[in-house]
Amino acid sequence: MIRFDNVTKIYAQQARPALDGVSLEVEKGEFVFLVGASGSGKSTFLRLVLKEEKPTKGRIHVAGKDLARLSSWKVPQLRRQVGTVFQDFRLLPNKTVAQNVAFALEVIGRSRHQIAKVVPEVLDLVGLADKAGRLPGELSGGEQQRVAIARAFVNRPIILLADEPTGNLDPSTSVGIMRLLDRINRTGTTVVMATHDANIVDSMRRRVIELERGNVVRDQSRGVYGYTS
Amino acid sequence: MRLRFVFSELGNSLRRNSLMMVAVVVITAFAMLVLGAALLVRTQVGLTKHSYYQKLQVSVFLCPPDSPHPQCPSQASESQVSAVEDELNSLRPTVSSVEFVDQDQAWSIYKDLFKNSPDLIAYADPKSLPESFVVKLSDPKKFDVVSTAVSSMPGVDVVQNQDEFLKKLFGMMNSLRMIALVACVVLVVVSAVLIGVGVQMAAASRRRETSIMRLVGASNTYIQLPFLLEGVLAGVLGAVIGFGAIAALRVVIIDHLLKPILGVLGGRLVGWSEVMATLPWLVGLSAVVAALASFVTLQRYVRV
Repeated sequence: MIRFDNVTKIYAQQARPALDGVSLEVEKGEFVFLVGASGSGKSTFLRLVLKEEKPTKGRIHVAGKDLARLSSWKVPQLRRQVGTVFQDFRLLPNKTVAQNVAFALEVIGRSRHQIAKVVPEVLDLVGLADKAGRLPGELSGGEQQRVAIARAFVNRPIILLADEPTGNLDPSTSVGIMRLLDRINRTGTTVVMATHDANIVDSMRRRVIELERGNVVRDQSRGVYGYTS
Repeated sequence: MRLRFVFSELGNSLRRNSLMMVAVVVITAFAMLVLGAALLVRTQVGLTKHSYYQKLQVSVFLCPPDSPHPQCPSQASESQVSAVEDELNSLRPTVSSVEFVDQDQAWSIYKDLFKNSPDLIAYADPKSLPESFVVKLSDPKKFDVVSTAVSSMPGVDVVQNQDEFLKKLFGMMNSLRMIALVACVVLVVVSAVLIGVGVQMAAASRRRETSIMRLVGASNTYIQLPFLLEGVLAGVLGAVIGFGAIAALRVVIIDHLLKPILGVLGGRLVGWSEVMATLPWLVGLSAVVAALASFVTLQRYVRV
């Protein structure tokens, strides 16, 4: 589903590579934690998957496509297959919960009929059916992140990328978010989650890839967080 | 493509960015006002020139009896006159008409010209007036052709023209056109830059939306079209307002500014039909410029 072959990324004005010859493969339906200190290359990895950045060296395949050979006007098609969730939710404050989710469908040209059908379904999935008409500012952090997840998942992507989705949430709320991501993973969606949260990684017992200064230093199939910052 | 979405985004953006859009519209309106005025002046110059040209003629005076000029030892003979006439006729189509003015006709023209000065008529001798050819030209700028062809022929006294005056008039008209052209270019560039800045500000104010749109895989068109339409809308609105100002100012510009200058030269003054004719140019130009300015800005600031 995601394959990196000897990928190096060097940002301009930075001597040290953000990723240094990384090779790894994520299979369809896997749940993968990406761990490592700040600056270890987690975010760069996610940005490369979305083709927000181009690798300096190496090849990247996502959903069967070679990103180097994907022309720029086809990048939106790629991103429709890859849902993304961030630490800071990135919701539109002047739109309601339902409108935020619908926005993701409107901008890719879905019909109003289809939107009206799909949005309540996904809000139900994330447990926010009764808050569809609220504005993001009226919701708790955990609820806002659920809206963000609903928006990322409403188009049924085959991959879900989560960049520290629990970074702004307290532990008990985080557990709820992880249950939700686990449910989404069980529908067959590949989930890649970058995180600092040791408790979550340890409790989930899923594959753990640890990055350090741009290198993969550990790749365990049922791993624990394992490193102390 | 869901047009409803594009237009609702456009509406949101216009509301939020309204002050900047007002500035863009005002400047574009001003630019288009000056451009439209320049176009009208140019049209007026053309009309005046055309009518002035039509009245232009060249007189080829033939040797009268007892001329003091060395090129006229005696009165032009009949064969010399017909040789000159043939030569003039051979210059068609540069020459559009050749008319012979004999002494009787010359005398009646003379009398008409000096009808307020009976002394001049009393002392003049109809037999001393020269015969002449009155030549009309299809292109008055080609006076030289007539002059070189016949001025040294035997029997020709002098070829009279309004050449010097014409050259000055043409020079003035040309510099008017150049000034108008330069003003147009400068103003169009200014309004393009402003539209670019306006679109850039609109894009900045909606960075949150566009970043989410990119993330969920909206196409370039979907992301950029509202901004592009916003720029074009501002440009077109500016052009329409500028046109309105021109229509309102027509009376001032044409009737009070141009009439005293151009009226003496004769010819029609610019009317409503010419004013209306500027509208598609103004709207078309500002729409194209706005679209280009918006597009270029978007390539730089709303990357996908």
